[in-house]
Amino acid sequence: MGDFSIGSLEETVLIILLMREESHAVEVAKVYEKHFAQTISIPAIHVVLKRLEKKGLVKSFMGEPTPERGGKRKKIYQGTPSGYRLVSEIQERRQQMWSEVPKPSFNYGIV
Amino acid sequence: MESYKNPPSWALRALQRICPSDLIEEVEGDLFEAYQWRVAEKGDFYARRHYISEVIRCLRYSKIKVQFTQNSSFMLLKNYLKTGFRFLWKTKGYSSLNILGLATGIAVCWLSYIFVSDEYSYDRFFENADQLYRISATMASEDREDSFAGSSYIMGEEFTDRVPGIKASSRFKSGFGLLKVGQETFAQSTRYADPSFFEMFSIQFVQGNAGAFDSPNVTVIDETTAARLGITDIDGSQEIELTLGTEITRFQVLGIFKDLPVNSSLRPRIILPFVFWKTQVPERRLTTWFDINMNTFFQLEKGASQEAVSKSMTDILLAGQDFGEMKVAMGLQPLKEIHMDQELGTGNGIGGSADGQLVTTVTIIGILCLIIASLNYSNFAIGNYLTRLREVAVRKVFGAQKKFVFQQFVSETFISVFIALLVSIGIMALILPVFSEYANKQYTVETIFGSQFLMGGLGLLLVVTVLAGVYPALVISRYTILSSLSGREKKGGRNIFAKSLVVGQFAMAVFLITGMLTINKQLNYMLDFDLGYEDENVVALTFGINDQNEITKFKTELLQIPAVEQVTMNSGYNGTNMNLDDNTSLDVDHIRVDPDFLSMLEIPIVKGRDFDKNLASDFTQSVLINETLAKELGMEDPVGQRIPFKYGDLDQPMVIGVVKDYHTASLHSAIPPLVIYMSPEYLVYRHFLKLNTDNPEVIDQIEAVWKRNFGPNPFNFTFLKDVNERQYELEANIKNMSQSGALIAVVLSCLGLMGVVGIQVRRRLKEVSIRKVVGAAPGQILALFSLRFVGLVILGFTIGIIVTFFFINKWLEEYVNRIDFSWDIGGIAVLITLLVSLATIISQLYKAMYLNPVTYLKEE
Repeated sequence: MGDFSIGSLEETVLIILLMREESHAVEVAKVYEKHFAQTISIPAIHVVLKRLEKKGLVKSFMGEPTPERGGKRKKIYQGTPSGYRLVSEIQERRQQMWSEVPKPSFNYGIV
Repeated sequence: MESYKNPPSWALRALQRICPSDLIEEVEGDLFEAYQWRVAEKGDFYARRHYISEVIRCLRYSKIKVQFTQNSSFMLLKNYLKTGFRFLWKTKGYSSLNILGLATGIAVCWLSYIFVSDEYSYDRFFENADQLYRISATMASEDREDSFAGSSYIMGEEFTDRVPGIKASSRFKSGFGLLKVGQETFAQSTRYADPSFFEMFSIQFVQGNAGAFDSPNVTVIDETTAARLGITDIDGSQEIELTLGTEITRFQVLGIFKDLPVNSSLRPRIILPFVFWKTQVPERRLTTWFDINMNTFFQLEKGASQEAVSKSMTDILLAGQDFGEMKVAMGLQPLKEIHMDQELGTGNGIGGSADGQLVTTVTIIGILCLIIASLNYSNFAIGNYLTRLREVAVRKVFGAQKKFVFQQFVSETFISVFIALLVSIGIMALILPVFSEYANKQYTVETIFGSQFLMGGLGLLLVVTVLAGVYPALVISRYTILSSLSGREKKGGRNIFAKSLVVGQFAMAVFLITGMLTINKQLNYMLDFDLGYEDENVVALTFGINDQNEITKFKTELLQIPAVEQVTMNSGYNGTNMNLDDNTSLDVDHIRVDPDFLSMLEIPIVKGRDFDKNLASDFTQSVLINETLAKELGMEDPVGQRIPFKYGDLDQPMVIGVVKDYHTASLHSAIPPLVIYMSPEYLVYRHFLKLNTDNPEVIDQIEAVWKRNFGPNPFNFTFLKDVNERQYELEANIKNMSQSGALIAVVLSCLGLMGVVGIQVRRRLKEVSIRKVVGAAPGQILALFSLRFVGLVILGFTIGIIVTFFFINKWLEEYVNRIDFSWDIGGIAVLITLLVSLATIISQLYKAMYLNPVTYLKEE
């Protein structure tokens, strides 16, 4: 899995970032809530983003101030190539492992 | 336009406090945006709750390690330090001069602090210091009141038993003996103490212990004495041999204790038990209430009141003895105050007290030097900063507020002060040996790095930074962008400040110089003062002899030495009082002499005659008196009259002559009424030898005679002139201190003047150039600048002299025999400073006087 260990929330946020060219924390939160049907706090996302940035998996730049942000500038994040490679590698390995799970499985009562 | 809902403002403010500055923009914006979104989706309440909980969660950000970015205050500080150092480097010459001046001021102040705090630290280290007191007493009659510290044997006994609130008590007394070390004997002072002494004063034993300390022939000694005697282990067989009086006594050594620190008033070397002292004195001395000859220390119970104990002691005393008209009250003096209290005095085993005047002098010098040095720095700094107005303007354009500019310049001062502090440690190490000598202390380099080193350094760092740095920083931060960019300066305010600094500095310098000169003159006056007798080439020996045959033998043998011209023996001066007819009493000094006393010391006789050794009655019923006594008694012609003097065998003796007044003690006190007699009642104690040579071999011959007569007693001699001069040691120390202080103050003041003049000159080089082009001669340029500064300096002098006049007269009033503050001293002080300051001004103006106008005019 490369040089980095990465937590599951970090992986999720990274995937959300990779879905589009660029997004900021609130957009990440919106997508997250849409897919998981549960709320997430913005600071939690901030912490994750900073960690990812430190690991070099995302990069960021300051955007322009807009009125819906109370006149503050937004910080915009993008996935980096190494972020992309890491996530795809993780997905491939998962897929690989999942394929070895027998389906349907009688053990779990699923036919 | 769409309207936005605002999240709760208190939560927003909380967020701004919690959130690190480099994240705030992003976080605040994100939370705001999320708030709008949640309001739209699920309503106000939900959104608000979320917002608040998210603000709280922002505390997590402190876990994210952030890098310092542009607007952190640390970054700014780094920038200040960087520009500060660059500027110091750029103006190397001025900066090093400035820092050197500051360092000198700091060094002087620091040393004074070390000295003064050392004086105040006496006896504070004792564990029970707060509870320890010694007995004092006050005796008051109608017209006078005397206070003294001291007590009698019985006081220690009775008070301890009967006064409530006393936890422990110990008497303390000095003794004297000859200690046998190897085969030789040395004069050695001893101390007597009671058994509880060791507990009260937390004496630490390295070997053995004081035990019960209640048998007569035991002792404990300190480590130094133990090392001298070669005693290392204590097993009960160690003994010391002391000759006390005429008897040789052996004492068993019970223990060795740690030497007491230097800043202790009590520094016993050999402690003997009071039980032993008791066996040595007549019964009378153990029961007389007012046989004051020792100290008694009490350790009071915690919470016991000093007044109550004093009161109860007084009651017991008054019940024990009737004092008639005299009002007597007992008192307690806290141990911690003994060193600084000069009124109650020391003695009887307690070491010398502080010299109050010296402490004051040193404090004044320290503070003045620090102030002068700080003012110098301010002055220099303002001038120097003016060349940086553009920098300030640019900073302000970029958004620096007044506050930041202020901080910047204060932190620059901080750098300079810090460097100066380091330099000052070097300076201190250099002047420490001289300082120790003047202050009568044994300071070593370690003293500087003593316990208070860090505190002192930190304190000075802050004080000097504030004193020196705040004003220039205020001035410079007040400039508006426009006025600083245009290079135009505000004139009025700053100049007045700089000028008043110069005036203040010179006032202080003149104060110190005049003070120094006055002390100098007073000292010389006292040293050259005609004491009324001849002390040249007179050797004094001190030893008590009682036996008339021994006296005669010793005298005859001394006179056989060819270089000894005359020998006279006397009792030294003692005091008593005379009861006059009108029921008043008069304190008089008296001295027993032999027939050669007056002739040898060349004391003139005004009326009557000298003693005649062939007249038997002169030895029993005749006295000489001095002029003061004659005047006190109101006798026009006392010769042939009897005076009411009663002492020993003498009663109503006949006055055979009047001697001219001469000083029996130092010039600090007035000449007392004096009676001179030849009665053999009193033992002789002082032996004066008149030599006709200053060849040191004579001393060896005298010593040989001494050895033959008084065996093991150590031979000590002094020259009477030295003894007399040593009485003014304090004045000599003050003189030395103030001399150095004044010198440093003048140098520092001139540094300041140099700074002010130099800056003025640099700023007006163009003007001078134009003047020169138009035809001004160097002399005119000199006059142009120097006149205004000379005016300032003279104003400084005037203020300084007035202040000095006031203080010096106060100081002189303490001397009975004193010089008057004369204007010639002031004149000399002014002349010295004027010359030095003129030289300083000219050194700075030299550049302006001989400049080539082209250099400074071609720029524009």
